[in-house]
Parts: sequence; C-alpha cells; structure tokens
Amino acid sequence: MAPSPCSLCHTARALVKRPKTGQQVCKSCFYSVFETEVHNTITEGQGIFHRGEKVAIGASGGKDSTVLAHVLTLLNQRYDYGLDLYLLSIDEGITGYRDDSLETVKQNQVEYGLPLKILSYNELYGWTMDRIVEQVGRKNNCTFCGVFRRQALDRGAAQLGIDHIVTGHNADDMAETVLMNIMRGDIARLGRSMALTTQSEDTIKRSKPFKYAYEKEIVMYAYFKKLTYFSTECIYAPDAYRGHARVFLKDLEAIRPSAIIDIIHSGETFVLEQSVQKGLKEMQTCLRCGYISSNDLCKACALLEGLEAGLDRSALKQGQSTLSVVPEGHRIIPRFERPVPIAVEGIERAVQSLAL
Amino acid sequence: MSCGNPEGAVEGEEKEEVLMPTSRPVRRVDKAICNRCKKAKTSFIFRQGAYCSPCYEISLRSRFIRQLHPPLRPGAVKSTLTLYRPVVQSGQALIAVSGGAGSVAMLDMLMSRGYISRSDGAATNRTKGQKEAVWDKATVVYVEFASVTGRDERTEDIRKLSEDRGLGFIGLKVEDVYDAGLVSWLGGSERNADTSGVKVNFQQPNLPVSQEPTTSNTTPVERLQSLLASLPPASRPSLLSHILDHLLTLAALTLPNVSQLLLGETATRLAQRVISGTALGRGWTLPLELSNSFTLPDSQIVRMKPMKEISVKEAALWCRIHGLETVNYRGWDDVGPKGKEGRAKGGAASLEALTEQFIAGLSTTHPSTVSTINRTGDKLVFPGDTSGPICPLCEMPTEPDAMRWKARTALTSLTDPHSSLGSPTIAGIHTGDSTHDNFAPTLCYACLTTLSGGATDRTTGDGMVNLPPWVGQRVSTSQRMVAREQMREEIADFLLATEEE
Ligand code: SF4
Ligand SMILES: [Zn+2]
Ligand SMILES: [Zn+2]
Ligand SMILES: [Zn+2]
Ligand SMILES: [Zn+2]
Repeated sequence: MAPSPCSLCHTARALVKRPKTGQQVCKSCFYSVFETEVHNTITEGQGIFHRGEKVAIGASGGKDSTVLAHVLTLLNQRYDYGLDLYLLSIDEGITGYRDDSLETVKQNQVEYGLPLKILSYNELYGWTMDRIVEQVGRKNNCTFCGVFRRQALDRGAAQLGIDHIVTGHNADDMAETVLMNIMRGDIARLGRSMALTTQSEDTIKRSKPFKYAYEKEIVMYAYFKKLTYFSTECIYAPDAYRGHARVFLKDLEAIRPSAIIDIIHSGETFVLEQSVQKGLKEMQTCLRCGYISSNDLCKACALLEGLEAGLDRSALKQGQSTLSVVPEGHRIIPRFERPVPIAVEGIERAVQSLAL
Repeated sequence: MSCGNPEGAVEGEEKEEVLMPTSRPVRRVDKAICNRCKKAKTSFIFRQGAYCSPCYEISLRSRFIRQLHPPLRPGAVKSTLTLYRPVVQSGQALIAVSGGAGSVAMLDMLMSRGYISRSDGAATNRTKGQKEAVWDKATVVYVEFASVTGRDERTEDIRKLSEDRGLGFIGLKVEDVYDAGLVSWLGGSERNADTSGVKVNFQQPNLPVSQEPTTSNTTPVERLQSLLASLPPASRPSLLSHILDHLLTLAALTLPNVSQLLLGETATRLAQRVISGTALGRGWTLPLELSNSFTLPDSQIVRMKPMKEISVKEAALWCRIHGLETVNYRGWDDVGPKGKEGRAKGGAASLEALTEQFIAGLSTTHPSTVSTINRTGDKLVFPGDTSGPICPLCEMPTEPDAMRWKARTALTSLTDPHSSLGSPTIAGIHTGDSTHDNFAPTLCYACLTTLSGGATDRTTGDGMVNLPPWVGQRVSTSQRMVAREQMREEIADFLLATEEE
C-alpha cells in the first residue's frame, strides 16, 4: 500500500490510524491532537484548575496515570497553567503487584521531577490487602479496596495540603460506567458519574482530565513516547459482570470507533427526573475518624471494625455499629484533617453566595 | 485504571457492590401450583413466578392495560387512571403491525377485549363484563422490508390477519419513501414542492446536496438500495429505522382522522433501544423515543407503546397460546453489500444487532436485565425544546451545541477552536459558515455519525446519491432556519435587546 500523507498536516507520512477518529495521521500530529484534546477538556468553561493550585496526580504505575503524569507536566509548561504538581500513590499491600508498579511511579518521580508521596493501607488502616483477602476471601475484596483507596487518596492529599486530585480515568472507563449504571439501574450515579470534576460539600476535588482520551490512544501515546508502565492485572481482580460490559464496549468500538465518545456524549446529555436527583443522602462527618460520611460511621471505619472483630462477610453490612465508641483493642483510623486552603475557599464561597 | 476496577477503586464511596448485582435468588415457592390463584396447576414459569394459563393471561393483560389506558385519559387522576376503561376516542387508531410477537399480541389483546368495534358490522361478543369499545374504527399499517432484506413478503399474511378481524389495512413498502405519489395514495394532498431529485454527495465530509431533475430510469427500490449501499453497514439499520418511523408517522398524519398511533414495541425492544440509542449518541432525544405518549409534531396524534412492560418472550408465548403466527427476526443487520468495516466477534455489523445479542445473552444469567434497563430509561426526561430545529433524517429535535462539543473532544483538524471564533470544524464542516448547500450541519449528532463514512469507495460514479424526498424537504426547511440565525448574527451589533419571539 502506498504511504498516504497525514490527513492533518498533509505533509508528513501518516504513521497511525487514530483509534478515535479513524484518520490517518503522522506521529507529531497524533501527539498534537491527543494533547490538545486533554487541554480542551481541562480548559472547557471555567476550566478545572486555577493558577497556583496544588494538584496531586493519583499515580498507580499503570498506563493511564503514567501518561497522565507526562501529559500534565507537559501541558502545565506549554500553557503555563501555573500548577504545583505532585504524585500520590497508594500502596494497597498486594505482594507481587503493587510493589512492582510502585517502582514505575518512583521512576516517574525522577523523570518529571515531581514530589512523590506513598501512603500504604498498612500504615493507615493496619491491614494490607493480602491480609484482608486472607480474612474475607476473594469475593468482596474490591469493596474493601475501593473504600480504602478513596479515603487513602483524600488523606494523602490532605497531608500534602492539596485540595485537588486528578485520576487517570479514560474514555473507555467513562463509557463503561455509563453502560454499567444503565444496566444496573443506578440512576442517581448515572447523573453524577459523568462530571469532569466532582466535589461533594466537604471533600477534596477530583477531576478526570482523560475522560475523553481513548484507552488505545493512551497506549499508543505511551508507546511512541517510550513511556514505561506496569501492566499486570491485580492478582485479586474480579472477573464478573464488569467484564461483560467491557467486552461489549470493545465490540461496539470494533463496529464503530466513535461509539465510546458517543456513549459519553449520551451520558452527558441525560437529564433525570427531579425526584432522582434529590435522592442523595445528606453528608456529615464520621464520628470516629472525622472523614466525610453519610452515616455516623464512615465506610472505612465500619469495614475496619468488621475486620478487627474478625467478622468476614457481615463486615460489609454497614450501620450495625453506629457507636462512636471503639470496641476495646481495635485499631482505628487516624483523624482526618482537611487542608487549610479549602477552608478558606469554602468561606469565600459562602461569602460569595451571600453576596448574590 | 490498571487494577481493572476503576470505578470501585476510586469512586467506591457509598457503593455496596462494586460488581453487577447478581441475579436474585429465585424465590422458594412451590412451582407446581399457580402462584396467583394458588389452585390450578402451573403451566408457565417465569422470573416473576409460576402461573396457570388463565392467570398468565390476566397478568399480561393487566400490564398491557396499565400502559394503554393512561395516555387515553389525559388529565385523569392517577389512581383511577388504569381502573376504568377510557371513553370512546374521537379518532381512529392506527395500529402498526410488523408481524413480530409484540405487535401481533397487541393487536390480539385489543381485539379480544373489545377495544375496537369491528367495522365489518360483525356483532361484538357481549358476554359478561364486555365493555364499550374505545375506538369505533382502526386501521392496521404494515411496512414491507422484503425488497432490502431479501426475506419472504408478509404483506398478505398481515392483510389477512387484519381483515379477518374486521380492520382496515394499509400495506406500505420501505421503498415507498421514494415514491412521489405516496401521500396522495394515502388519501392526502401533496402540499410541498417536488424534492424527489435532491441528491447528496457522500464523498465530501460536509455532505453537499444538489437538486437535479429526477432521472426516471431508476426505480424507488434501486434508489433505496443505492443509498443503503453507500452507507457503512453499521449505519444501515439506523437508516431503516428512521424510514420506518417516517412512513408510520406519515400514514398517521395522512390517513383520515387518526387520533392514536399504536406501536407494539416490547420491553425487550425498548431496553435494546436504551442501550443502542446511548451508543449511537442519541441520549438527548432518547426520552422522546421511549415515551408511551409522544405527540407527533404539528398534530394532536399520540404515539403509544402499550407493550412496554411485556417482554418479547411473553408476547411470543401469548401468540403461541392463541395460535397466532409471528416472525420475530427483522434481518436489518445484513442488508446491502458487505463492507470491510469491523464487526463484533459474534458477527454483528451494527450497534443495534450487537446490543440485541448482548441483552439476550445477559438475560439468561441476569433475568432482570431488561426491566432494570427500562427502569433507567423511564427516569430520563427530555430537557430540550420540541419546537426548535428538527433533524431532517430522524425528524427529532437537534441538540444545541453538540457539534461544538464533538469538535473539541475529537479533533479532526489542527485549527485551534479558540482562534476561529466559535466556528469550530468537525470533519471539515464549518458549522458557522454558509450552509446553504450542505446537509451535514442540519443533521443531529447521531444522524451525522450515521451518514458519515458514507464512503468514497462505496459510491459509484459521481458519488451522488438520491435522498428520500422527505429528507430533501426537511433540509431545505432547516436551511431556512439556519439562514435566519445568520441574519441575526450579521446584525447582532445593532440589536439593542433580544426580541421576544
Ligand atoms: S482489583 Fe485489586 S487493586 Fe483493584 S480494587 Fe480489587 S483488590 Fe483493589
Ligand atoms: Zn501530520
Ligand atoms: Zn471514619
Ligand atoms: Zn392461576
Ligand atoms: Zn437525526
């Protein structure tokens, strides 16, 4: 086949077929559109960042966060966002999985000159995932892991005085989430899950700058830029329903590459009945650890109490123990202290809302 | 995320189950005895329970009535909505019958419960509790797709099905969209200029259109086939579905005194529509498509989907019990010549077919799949304005700003959307530019995708393909609307206040 010219610059030789648009483009145009799309995502409307903001990149050593660290560092310089970037990693304590991938993160730290903080489940909760799986088995391990990771990221950020975490969720993740939420009737989440930035009343801001970036293109970008990342699946990864949705999504993409972005577009235009939107619970703080929670005890404290009590499955049922009194001999999570800047911002916002 | 659990990993907040809720354990009940009457022997076992034959029919019928009655009694108090039979409607019912289980079962339920008086004068069987008819007259409309699917014609079967029940019958063919005489054949008068010669050029991304005298040497079938052939296989089912919608709507608007258009879309089909509509980028208008009481544009006619709580399996069982023959396979996924485009592993060529397979597969392990999906669909509301610009192809409202969104999230040119002052390009389409001859800027988000990749290598000769006349007509209408916006733009600096319109 004769080499065709790049359909963007019309001069260089096309090297790849872009997974997202099907256009044949050269390497440098590919970088350019990929990066510009991320920049567009970041700057849409008011933009997700403000000058001087401290931003933590949730870094797992996988492809998404590795490429995100690279691209954010680059865009921060190119467009002079004025961001103070950090790498924040969570060590779940999974032998043979996380200890390897953390090496990648440490490498990124050196490469981009970004400060790195690693926070482990062990130091925070007194439990590693290895031990949790030993106790609860392979069925609900991801529930523990998800709750613990979310809170660990917030705590890590708070310790660094950071009020904004960016994660490597990509377009495939977003589209899959839309499909999952439809299929399991999770209507309240359907509305919220599409937001570029989420911030419930009191927690740290979270953004997804890669929400429109195709997984295939992230891999392509890493490949051409020779970025190294760690790609082994977690040894405790489940393979149930989510797998179905992922396979379905890949099939949709095979038939029509724009399907991923089209699903996200649909997801963003969905408007739900009023009653659904209001259905969310009022937030308070955990009586035991001070973390944001919809109950007296936050999820992490409730799960931890179950683990400590040696319960396995019943540890999942929240609301059993709502006492702020810790049973004797149990470990607890240190108190959650929020960074100062957010408090100031919060006051400003309160004043602004009064002024209106 | 590399851990394979992105959502649970980061958004785990408040989530009980990271994975899909599994199939509920089947209730431990005696499956030998009907769960409803607790007397008769069970004939059928479903997710909801085990039924004897009469109880099964009651269950189906009550779900049917629950959807049928409310749109016929607008303004009635909620609790009494389904209880009483609605009053006699002012117009006739137009019943769309495809020959599939959903529409055949719907027709049978309507007739067997005396919802429609038989126009052939045959005495209705007024046995115990037989109620007043709701429609004095009804017509069945059937659209034949045999010319594009290559399947057996069923027009005569459906005619017989209808006429045996004393109903009027209209048999249309899918290629009738290209028939200039269709409206007058249906009994209406042609009001618009002849647009049967409007052609589109698929070789250019902005899809320029031009008016050419109709070349009489091509038949409607040939024109439709060449339109289908010039689209990627993945887009053909969407096109057929828009043609079907258009023909049914046209029949409803043209036949005398139609007050309701009844579609036999089952819960299964609706669930497929929710998922495939999402994947096609039709999320914005999805609530209108799903609605059980959608008022057709510029009319008082209400389009209803009374089968929306009944699955295709249940409808098929109804038909089997009553000895009614059905054909449930549409065959839209393999019309036209094969393309070199990607297919899913199972062989599906379109998002619609893939979704159908996916939901069917999932339903075997998760029997509540269809109802859960529909529960989500029911909660969606249409946020837009139905009186705004209309997409010429799907005839649904076009979503404002969608093209700008796409231009920013999937760049197809290197011009900076910021510098070009709100006139971003998408696949070379200048959305803010003069659009007088271009089809692309008038299309909705999803239809533009459907018609894009209408490919260079597929079309022969000059690449010009005949558009169905209705589309041509709509294009010229929407171009007038765009032109008005441009006028306003030109004088924007001189307008002191936005006028009230
Ligand atoms: S897959 Fe592994 S890392 Fe991911 S949530 Fe589950 S246990 Fe944690
Ligand atoms: Zn190039
Ligand atoms: Zn707590
Ligand atoms: Zn019974
Ligand atoms: Zn459309």
